[in-house]
Amino acid sequence: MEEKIVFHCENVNLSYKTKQCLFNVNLDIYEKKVTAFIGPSGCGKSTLLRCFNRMNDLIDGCKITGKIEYNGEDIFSINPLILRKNVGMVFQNPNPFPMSIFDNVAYGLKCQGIKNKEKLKEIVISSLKKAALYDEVKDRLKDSALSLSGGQQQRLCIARAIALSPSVILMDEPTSALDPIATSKIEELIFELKKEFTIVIVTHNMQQAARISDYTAFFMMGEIVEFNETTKLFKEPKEKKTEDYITGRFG
Amino acid sequence: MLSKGRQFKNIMGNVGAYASIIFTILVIISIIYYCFSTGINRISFDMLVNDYYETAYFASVEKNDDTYYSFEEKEDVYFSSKWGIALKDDQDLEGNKCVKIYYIDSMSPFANAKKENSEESIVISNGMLVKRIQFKTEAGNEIVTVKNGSEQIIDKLNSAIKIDEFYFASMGGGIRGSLLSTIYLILLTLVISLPLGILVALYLGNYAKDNKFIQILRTLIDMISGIPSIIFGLVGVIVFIPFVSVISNTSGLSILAGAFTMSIMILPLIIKNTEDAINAIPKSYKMNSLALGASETQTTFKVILPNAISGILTSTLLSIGRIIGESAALIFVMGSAIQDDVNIFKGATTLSVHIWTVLAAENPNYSLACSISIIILLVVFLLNILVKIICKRLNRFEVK
Repeated sequence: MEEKIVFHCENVNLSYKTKQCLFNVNLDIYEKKVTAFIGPSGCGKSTLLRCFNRMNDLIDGCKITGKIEYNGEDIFSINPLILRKNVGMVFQNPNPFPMSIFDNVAYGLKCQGIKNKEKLKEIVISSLKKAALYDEVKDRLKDSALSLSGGQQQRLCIARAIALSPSVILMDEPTSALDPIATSKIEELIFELKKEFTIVIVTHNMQQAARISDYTAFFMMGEIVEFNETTKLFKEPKEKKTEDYITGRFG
Repeated sequence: MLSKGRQFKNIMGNVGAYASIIFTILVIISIIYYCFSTGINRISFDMLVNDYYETAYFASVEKNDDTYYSFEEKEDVYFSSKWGIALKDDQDLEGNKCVKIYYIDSMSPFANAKKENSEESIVISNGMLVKRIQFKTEAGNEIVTVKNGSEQIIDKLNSAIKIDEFYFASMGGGIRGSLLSTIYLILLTLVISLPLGILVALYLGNYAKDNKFIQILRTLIDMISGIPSIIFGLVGVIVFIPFVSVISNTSGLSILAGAFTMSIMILPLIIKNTEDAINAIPKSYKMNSLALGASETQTTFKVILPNAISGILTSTLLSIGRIIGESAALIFVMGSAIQDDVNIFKGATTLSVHIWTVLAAENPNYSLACSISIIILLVVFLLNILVKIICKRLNRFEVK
């Protein structure tokens, strides 16, 4: 089965000042699939994730070598503002801006220069619907986004990202700050979203990776130990390290 | 059970803390009490809206008929039924004895007074001060002045047949000019320094790399806040007075030069507070904004700046306090001559310098100084409340 590749990494090395964080990473992310990055803390999962929308550019002394392609185009030749519009990101802690719910979702659109109020409203509502949040907030779009619960805030952040109609959504441990009920809602949402978007998710929760992802990459010490379809990786890991990690022998 | 030594230390510590706070409260209360007890009865609406200098007028009044006027009698008010004018002993705004015009009948000769030696009419209104009256009686010329008091003036006026010179004046001693120039100075200073300070703070808090140059810059900014204000006055004289003279074609002291001087003085205040507010904004806001495809500039102006607004307002409040309180530098740059006609290209006094001028005079007028102090205290108090309200409004999206 031939899948379309969205991100293609070839020999990616990354170092912060003198410390090297990624070693020769080779990885393909497939379109409209959920790819999960698992591995112990500090193994470079989030670092690689941040390469995909060039958030590492903001860190002083960060040096990347190797090739990362987005839809066949070198990401370092794409304007980061355009890249980030197409590659949305959801962070670990739900972090809505201290504005109204509506303004939060409309923020990215306004930054893109969309001023038409009707159009803004249309996109905001459809994004909130896609993020399964609209029914809960439809009567209080003008309220502060900070008045929402943690899970709602995280879904608002997802709505904010999909309002820009990206092709990829990067999620950096999106449920680690949430309770199990909010987590399950986000997981259901991811299931819905993968019909439309490519999703890359970093998670510490192996059950979560097993539940929601199509592909899984296991990271250790800045290297990809194993990358395979999730079912295969969890059922019959090829590497000893992977087996040890997913069976909980260390990590 | 605590050891004796520890118990003793605890008690001493507590006693020290309580004694200090009681001392502080007493000092504050006594300052406020002194200001209010000395100055409160001087404060009136007239004081706020009147000119500082009296304007003298001279009029001649003639009575051509034999009508008499009536007036409902009041305590301490003396009325001349012949001339239709009522006078009252009073104190002017500086506390000197004066005779105030209490009432003028609309048909009385005073209502049709003419300017001395001319046919132009002149308006004499209630509240003006009688200074001196020179008039003719059957016996000859006579003069009464303020010193006679209103009772005697009215008494003598009743025997007058023609008033040759009626010398009266508008009430002086007001602080309208100083109040206005204070407001002008505050506005001008903020207009100059707020944008400058905020942009510097944005640069330092957002863009600046941590290198030697920036470290030196920060040290310099901190240093500016420690320089005594008299040195800023000197800078104002050397730099800003000539500068304003060039751009406005005027010469000498001016409010604008004062505003430039004050701007430099409060710049570190604004920069520090704004930068602190910017640093207090979670880094994640910036990350989130950038991840949503916003540019660095958009992030700065749409996310960083709106969230720093409370810091900016605090710095504005502190700056206004500093401007109201400043006197040494302003005496250099704006002069110490009280003005009634306020013009930003001319010198003037702020309320604080007004106090200085009043106290530096031959007879220091403490009660006037105290009443101005009360006004300053009230202004600062109101500003505090205003800023708090605005902060609350702007922060309505923060977690309740």
